[in-house]
Amino acid sequence: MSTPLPLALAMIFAACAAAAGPPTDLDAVRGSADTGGFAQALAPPEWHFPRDHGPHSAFRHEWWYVTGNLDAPSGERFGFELTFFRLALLPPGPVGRAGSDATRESNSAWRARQIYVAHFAITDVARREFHVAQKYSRQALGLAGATADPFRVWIDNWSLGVPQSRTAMRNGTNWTLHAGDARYALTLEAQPLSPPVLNGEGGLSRKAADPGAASDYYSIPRIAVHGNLWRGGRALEVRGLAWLDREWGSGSLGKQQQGWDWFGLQLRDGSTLMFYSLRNRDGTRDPHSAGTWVDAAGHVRPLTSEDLSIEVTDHWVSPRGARYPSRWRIRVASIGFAAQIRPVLADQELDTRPRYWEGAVDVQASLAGRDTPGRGYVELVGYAE
Amino acid sequence: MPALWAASIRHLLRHPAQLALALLGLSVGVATITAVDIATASSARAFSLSMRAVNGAATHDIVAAAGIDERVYVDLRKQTSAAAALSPVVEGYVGVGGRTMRLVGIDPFAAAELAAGGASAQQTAGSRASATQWLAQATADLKRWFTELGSVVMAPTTMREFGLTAGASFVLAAGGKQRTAVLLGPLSTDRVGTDALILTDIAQAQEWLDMRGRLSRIEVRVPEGAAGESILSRLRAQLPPGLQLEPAQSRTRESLGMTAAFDTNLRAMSLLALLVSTFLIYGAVSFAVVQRRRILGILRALGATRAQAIASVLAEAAVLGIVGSGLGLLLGISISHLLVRLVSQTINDLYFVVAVNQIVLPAITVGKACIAGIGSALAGALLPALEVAGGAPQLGLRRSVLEARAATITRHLLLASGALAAGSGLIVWLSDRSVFAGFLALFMLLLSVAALTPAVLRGLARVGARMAMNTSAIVRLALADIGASLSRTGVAVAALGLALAAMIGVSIMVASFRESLRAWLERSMRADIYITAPGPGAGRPERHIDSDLLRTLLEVQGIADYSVSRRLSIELAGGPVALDALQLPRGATVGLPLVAGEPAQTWPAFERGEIVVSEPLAWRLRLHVGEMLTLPTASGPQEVRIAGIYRDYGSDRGNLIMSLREYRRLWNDPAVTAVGLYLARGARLSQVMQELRRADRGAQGLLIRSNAQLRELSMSIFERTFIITRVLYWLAAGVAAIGLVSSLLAWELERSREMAILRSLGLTSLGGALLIEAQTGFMGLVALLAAIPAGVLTALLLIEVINRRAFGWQIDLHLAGVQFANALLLAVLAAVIAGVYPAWRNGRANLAGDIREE
Repeated sequence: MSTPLPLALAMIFAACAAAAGPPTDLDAVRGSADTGGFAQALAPPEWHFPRDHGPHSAFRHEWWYVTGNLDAPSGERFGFELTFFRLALLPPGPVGRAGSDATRESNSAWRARQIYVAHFAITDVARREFHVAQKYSRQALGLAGATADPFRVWIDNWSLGVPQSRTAMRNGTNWTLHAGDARYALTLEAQPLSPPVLNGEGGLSRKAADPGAASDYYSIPRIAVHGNLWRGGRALEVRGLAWLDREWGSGSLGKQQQGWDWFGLQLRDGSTLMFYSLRNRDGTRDPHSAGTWVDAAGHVRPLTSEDLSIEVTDHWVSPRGARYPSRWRIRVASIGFAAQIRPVLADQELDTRPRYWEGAVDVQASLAGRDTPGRGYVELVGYAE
Repeated sequence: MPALWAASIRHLLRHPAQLALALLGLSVGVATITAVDIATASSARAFSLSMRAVNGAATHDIVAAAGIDERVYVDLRKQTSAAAALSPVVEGYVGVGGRTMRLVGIDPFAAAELAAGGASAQQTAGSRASATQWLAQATADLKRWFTELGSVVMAPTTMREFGLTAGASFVLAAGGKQRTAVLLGPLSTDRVGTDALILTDIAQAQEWLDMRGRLSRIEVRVPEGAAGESILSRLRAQLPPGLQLEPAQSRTRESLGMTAAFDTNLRAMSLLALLVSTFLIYGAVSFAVVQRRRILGILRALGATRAQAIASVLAEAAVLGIVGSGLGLLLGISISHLLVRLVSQTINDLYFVVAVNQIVLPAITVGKACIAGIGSALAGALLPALEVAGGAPQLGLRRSVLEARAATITRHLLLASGALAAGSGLIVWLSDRSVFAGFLALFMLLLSVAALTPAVLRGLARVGARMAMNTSAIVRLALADIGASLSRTGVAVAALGLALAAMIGVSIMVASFRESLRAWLERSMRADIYITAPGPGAGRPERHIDSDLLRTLLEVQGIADYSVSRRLSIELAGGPVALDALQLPRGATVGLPLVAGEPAQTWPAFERGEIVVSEPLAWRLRLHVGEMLTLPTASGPQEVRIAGIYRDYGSDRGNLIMSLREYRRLWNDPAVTAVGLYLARGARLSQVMQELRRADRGAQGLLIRSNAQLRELSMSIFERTFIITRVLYWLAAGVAAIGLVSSLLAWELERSREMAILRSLGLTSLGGALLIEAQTGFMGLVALLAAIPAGVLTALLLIEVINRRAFGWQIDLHLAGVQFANALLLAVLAAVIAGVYPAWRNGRANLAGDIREE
């Protein structure tokens, strides 16, 4: 599921409320559960692709989350994350001036009610380097935004979706991805290898008992990517496998929930496992934790909290203070799956606001008695501060 | 030679009053230059900080003469965001409760990215802290920042000044309208340079300032070194024509350059005070030497070398200089608050908005004060020191020799005076535009007056004494004594004469300026009523009158005709210049007096679309009639012909005018900044004004002023800008007065034996007092007599050379008796006060003791 709703909100406010310190605790944004004017994710939606790749402005927040593992011909290995968050400050409506102030003066084109945030991270395994860049922008003047047809989401020159120059010839199945700064930049061509997988109940993913605490959630767990990774201005040819998570809603986590651990694992035989474990403040796992198993043939199987056991076998203490789990043993008895998971680099903590860990991992799995290696991404939220 | 030093110290301690006065004079001189230095440095610093307060880390600005299309920014961001950090700014001036503030509209995300040096999340601690700190405070409540209409933030000090608390709403005049702003909260307290700043979202700034679709500039940050250079050259290649990429400091530099002439004038005034105090030191030291001539002579006879004698006198002066500098520095710092207020007020009236809440004492100021103080003390002591060492040892014992030599020196000074005057004239003649040369000439002229004064004093004293021969022995005695004591009286009178000349010169210059301005206003302001949109400061461009409201106003009964004008600021070489587009009533001609160009040709050409430039602009940019000037218009750069040059005192930056029709053709801007209304025959001014106010009630809050009111306002701004000049010349005059009192006091005290002899010969104590007062009074009078012609010359130099070169405008010389009144008052006051103490002491003198003392 990647970063859930409140985290995204917290990011925005923290981006502005800053390192100097105020509310980075997730509690601060749990208070904003008032959904006045926004649509709520209450029942499984009707799905229409490719339209649903585009924005859902009736909801308060939404994101496009791409993670993946890359290999260069030299044998060097990389992980990457590119996330776009959309955050609405006000429900849809006329931008800017309220009706009561109806003057003949028109609005500035800079008036906006939506904000976009993007995080970009590269894990350079050989150099043991983890590099993060971020962007913030208002949805105005085309500086940032998202469109459904053709699908595209962007801030400045960071983007995901159908490339503008090829809009006419492509129909939305082939995407490009671009992000970066002077130290690392990435340009990838992306070809989904599977149709969208609906998580939860027909795509409705509940996060707590409260009816509003849910989101619409789908994934494309296997996307073939290839392109260039620029390191300090020098291009490396890379190819690999990526994962797209798409989620939108207007609610938030439950009060007793502290954070979550999210796993997106891609096995060599073509099967994938997604699971998010919602952690309660008392240390227990929330029963709303859930996941999705897709086998090599593409059959989808929802997983509940009871289906899965997670054992933390090691911890890592961040130089910035937080203590994260850093090795896991996972079992899904119902499908005969067992795996050991290990980060490719210990420090893949994003020193953003709020701080979280999101990193590339190696998987040693056995499926129905046969060893199957794999790779994936893990996200750990709610450990720092 | 300890005996020499001991003699020096004991002498100084035995004459505390003289010592104190010399120190006071020197301190005031040093204090004046210190205070002026502090005031200009503090204003400049406050301004530089305010320029850097928003995007402090910016290395460059993208600017264009007529603003930037916001789409340029969007395009640049999509192309170059990985390389250069860009932050758009929309800014202008707004009025809040009578104060002018800089409204700065930013995009907080872009500003934060610029502060952090790019998109990278992992930055050095310093740059991140500043970025996040900045944003934390700027957008304490992001949702309200983006979505609440009128939301602004400002510095805590400014909040206090306006009496606002977080959440309060207040009225702000922007774009010619009264707007409601909501204060979200304070900016970070440790952020400097934000005192005259209101910060808001870029959308809000565009709406308030009527700049939809446009940006004032784009601030750019690139890394240092070769990487930055290559990014800049790529960026430059991407810029559409008409846009420039400039180093960030050039904007600040350009703005500060606007006040260069003003600063130079202040400095010259402060140097004048120091010059006068040099005379004072000369007086004090030479008296000290004269008084010690016996002991110095004895010591020289006993074997003290010439060099030792010189050294002892100079060392004494140096000590005086060090103590005086120290005291002056302290005094200067304490009076600098007053000066800072005056300087920043003038800068706000004339140039740009600055709020000086912090006094800075530059290290160089301390250095300057010490060098000036010690230097002038040494310079003042040099002649007396040479005098002591000059003759054979025993000659030093005899005062008569000294006086004889003084008489010779007086003749030499007369020659020097002539040389200085000639040199002054030569400098003016040879130098072309240099303001510095103008001041050099002025100082030489003043020194020439000072050098001339002893001779005048001697001559007049002789003439006076001869005339008094048959009437009063006492008067004859008094006058002859002045002439005979030239070594001491001469310097005091010279210093006073110099100060009085400067005072008279400045008085005449200010009065002439005032009269020229008054005449100019009379001629150029012809409408009966002037209406302007409310807004910050006089003559700032971001405001216009609502067009519907204007139609309503023009329908008011009693208006026969009207003129319309549009003012905006355009960028020419060397900074912004106001452009006034005028449309006159039918049949009327522009009332502005031309200094170049024939009215019969110029004004028809003006109607055809040529421009007329103001005298200061023509001077500054060396423009002549018939030349072409390229204007940055909304439809691109346009070459226009200069049809004439008009006299204008509105701005030392310069103005230019063009017809409203031509302006609208080039700018496609229908806005109106001001209208002038001409009353119909028989209409009553007060009634029409009342009607106009009624028509505007609840609408725009326009400023509706009668011709007389507006003229009065113009004059009051003029007076305000000259307050600082007055303060400085009174300081210089004060030093001179102290000098006179000090010198005369010493002289009179020294003469106590002579007075005692006269008293014992039958002079009453009243007679003695009168004698002393007559002497000091006479010297005051002589100083004044020398100062009057010199003062007129000074005024001519100030008007014809210095003002012309610094500001480019011509002032008509205007002489009136009242301009000499201050000088007369000062001369009489200083002379009378100088005589009071000796006269009082004389009355209580122990005659026998005084006679024996010598």
